[in-house]
Amino acid sequence: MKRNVLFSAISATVLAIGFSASAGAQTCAAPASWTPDIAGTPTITDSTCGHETAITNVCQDAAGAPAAAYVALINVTAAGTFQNITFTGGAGYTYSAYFVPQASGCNANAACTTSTSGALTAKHANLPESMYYMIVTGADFDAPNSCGPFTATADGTLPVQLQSFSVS
Amino acid sequence: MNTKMKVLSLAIVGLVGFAGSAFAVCPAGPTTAEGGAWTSKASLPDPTSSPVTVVAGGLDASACKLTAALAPITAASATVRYTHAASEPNYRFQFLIDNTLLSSYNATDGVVVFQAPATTTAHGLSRLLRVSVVAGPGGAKRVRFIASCGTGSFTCAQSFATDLLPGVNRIEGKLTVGAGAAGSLSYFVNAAAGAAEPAASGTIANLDNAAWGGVSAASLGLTAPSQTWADTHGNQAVGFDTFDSRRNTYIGF
Repeated sequence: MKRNVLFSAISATVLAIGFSASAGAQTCAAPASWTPDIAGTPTITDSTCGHETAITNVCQDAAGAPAAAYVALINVTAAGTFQNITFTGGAGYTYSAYFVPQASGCNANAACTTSTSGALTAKHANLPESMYYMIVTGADFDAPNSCGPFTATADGTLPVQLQSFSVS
Repeated sequence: MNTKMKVLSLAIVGLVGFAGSAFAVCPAGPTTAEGGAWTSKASLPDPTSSPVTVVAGGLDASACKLTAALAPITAASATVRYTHAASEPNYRFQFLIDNTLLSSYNATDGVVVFQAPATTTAHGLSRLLRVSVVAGPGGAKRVRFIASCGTGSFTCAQSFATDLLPGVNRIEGKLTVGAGAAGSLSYFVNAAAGAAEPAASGTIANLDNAAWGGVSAASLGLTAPSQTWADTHGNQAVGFDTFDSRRNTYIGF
């Protein structure tokens, strides 16, 4: 019997070492896969600059966005031990984070499951089990193309996603 | 045609019976059954945690006002509704809103304060318009108009929300339902006093919203809060007053 388990987080080992200043653009088409371990490692330390530039509205137009966003895909399961995801922003913009079900589309202006900003955290309790686009961008009132640094830290695991499984 | 369609002013409700009285008594509640002017009210999850009430001290030198507050959950709602007798393709509305008791906003704070339900559900949306209080810079508040439209993701909003003043604000809108460019929304935020229609604060054009038929009702109060709004502003009361709706003529004051 051979089992092939392919995780979306192919670079999980690399990610565990560090998840900062990603070399590739984290976009709707190629979002980052963020799978922190029990210690919450890795933290994302990156920028909303230089990634997705097509997101100008979110949550069925509940808010506008400045067309500069970092997009990650996260897998929320009951097994995930995180309770909170804490964000910090930086100069140049006002960070806002939106969570949209993957099935609804990344840049479809679809309804958001939850969102957060300021000192508030994104809570596991507000994210039913699903795959989500985690869109980190600027505020409704930020000028177009405003962007800047951010960190995202989970206080527990966000499991990897099983994408393929076969038994032969 | 300059038909005045319906005045649903809680101020007028108060004035009708109690003008000039130092001991004005407000209706027991906002619905007609309670002495108010609205068809119905809704409090979710329950009237205790998400109250919608009529209290003394109107926002426009009137006797009474409507207040709404929400339980600190995103499913909370505290609204009143007036069901129109007919589908209205030309719809003007105005209301006063008092944000005095809302604390400083976070960037993702938002709550819907007015909705225009549609006669027909289209593209999964049962409304023609939402008006939300969203964040401005530095914890300030703005008003954002979100119209249903026939293209893209089927909602169309202004590029930037419009600043609100701390305290009482007057919000007026003119929604036209029609195909292509015939569908539009113009809005007036804290317009100067007067009966003549001023330049709009903003317009959302080419709504192509004929599929929704017309406005079937008016819904005023608090609903659909964002998570951060629910976390931060639960139990904070917002005041409303002087709701008016018409078909064609500018309402003003």
